[in-house]
Amino acid sequence: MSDIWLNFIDKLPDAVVLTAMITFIGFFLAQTIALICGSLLHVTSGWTRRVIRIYPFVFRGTPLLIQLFLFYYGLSQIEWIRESIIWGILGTPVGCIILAVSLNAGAYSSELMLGALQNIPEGQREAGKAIGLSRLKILVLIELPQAYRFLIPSLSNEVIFILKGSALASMITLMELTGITKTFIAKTFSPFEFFIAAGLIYLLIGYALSQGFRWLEKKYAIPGR
Amino acid sequence: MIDFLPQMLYGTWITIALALCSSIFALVLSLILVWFASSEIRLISFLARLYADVIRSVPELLIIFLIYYGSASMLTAFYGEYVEIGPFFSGVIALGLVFGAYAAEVIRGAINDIPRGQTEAGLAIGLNQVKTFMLIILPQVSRRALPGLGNLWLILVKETSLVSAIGLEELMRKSSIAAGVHHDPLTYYLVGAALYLLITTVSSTGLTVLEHRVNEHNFKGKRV
Repeated sequence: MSDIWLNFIDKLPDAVVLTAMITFIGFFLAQTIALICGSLLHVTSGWTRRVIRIYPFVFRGTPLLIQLFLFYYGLSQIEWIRESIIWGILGTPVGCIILAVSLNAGAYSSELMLGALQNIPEGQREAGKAIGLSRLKILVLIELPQAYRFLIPSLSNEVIFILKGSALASMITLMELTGITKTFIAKTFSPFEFFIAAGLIYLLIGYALSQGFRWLEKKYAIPGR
Repeated sequence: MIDFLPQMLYGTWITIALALCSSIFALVLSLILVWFASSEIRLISFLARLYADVIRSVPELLIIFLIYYGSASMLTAFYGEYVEIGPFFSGVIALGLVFGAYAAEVIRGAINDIPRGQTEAGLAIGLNQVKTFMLIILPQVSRRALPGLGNLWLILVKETSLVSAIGLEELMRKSSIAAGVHHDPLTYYLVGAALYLLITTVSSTGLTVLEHRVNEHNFKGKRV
């Protein structure tokens, strides 16, 4: 094996860890946003709902890359953000890519969450009301557990969407999987070998994640349905 | 701000042209993939499905880099001097390859909705395989696949921004250049984002109208 490959393999573990870290944290935050925003869209109506709707509209209508660049290059222009404590996170490339992928994926997932909540028959809400549960309790005890079961199959798509989004981190100097692959392609001018290596790793991560969600789906399935 | 507006609008035009060219390539590829996936020969249908699975979890950005650098290295080896196909064409190929795989899934789902009896009827009246597909199945498929394909178009428009990574001066790249020159990324990326939002909003409104039209026609047809 040539030196350049040894060098590549040497850099690989850090890159894979970075990709995995962005994917996991991004996914966790996106799901948190989806839970809050989807539920809010579900329980609100009128003007409040229209205002909340702006978030998924804007983040679904623009490219992830421009959102990332807005956070990475644009936020530093706003003085109060630069002087606040969160700048410790937002001032770093890792913080920016995680913020961008989670807000972007969160916008898509919010709509999915809303769809899943609205999919539940009206009668169940009425039944909850009839036995005297508050709106919050109906949401938490009756609606959300069913919505999540309905959502598990689409979660594997969501996490792969974030995995692919994490590749954009290479555009803001981060040396994750796509970043090092690009560097080595540019250095050696032999694109195919490095592409195949990186592609296989992405495939492997994607496959492991979708198998994980399939397992979850079986584990939490309502028996006899 | 005003001095860069014509450049940004020109970038918007490149973005739209790139999305249109890629979607045409993607549609042609998807039909071939659907045809291969339904092949009687196991190996061919296996390869078509493998292709879809691979494309699904490999980042688009990586595929764009592969096509751009890969084609350049192959052509250079072939001609003995540096030759490349250029970022626009690389972008069309890369995005076409990715969205062809997605569109094939949508179209295959739509085909499965159409009763098998229709293909058999077509063959029974003496049409060949290709004619049965083109004249009987495809017109019905296009109607059923429209919502799914429309969604893919909206995603494709946004993914074209990745082609800026190999230097194509479309909307994303123009925004970056303007942001760099004026040292004001916040304003120029916001303007760029607004232009993307305009394209996607106009597209999705157009798609809703189109779907409505198509279904209206369908409804009338059923009532007669």
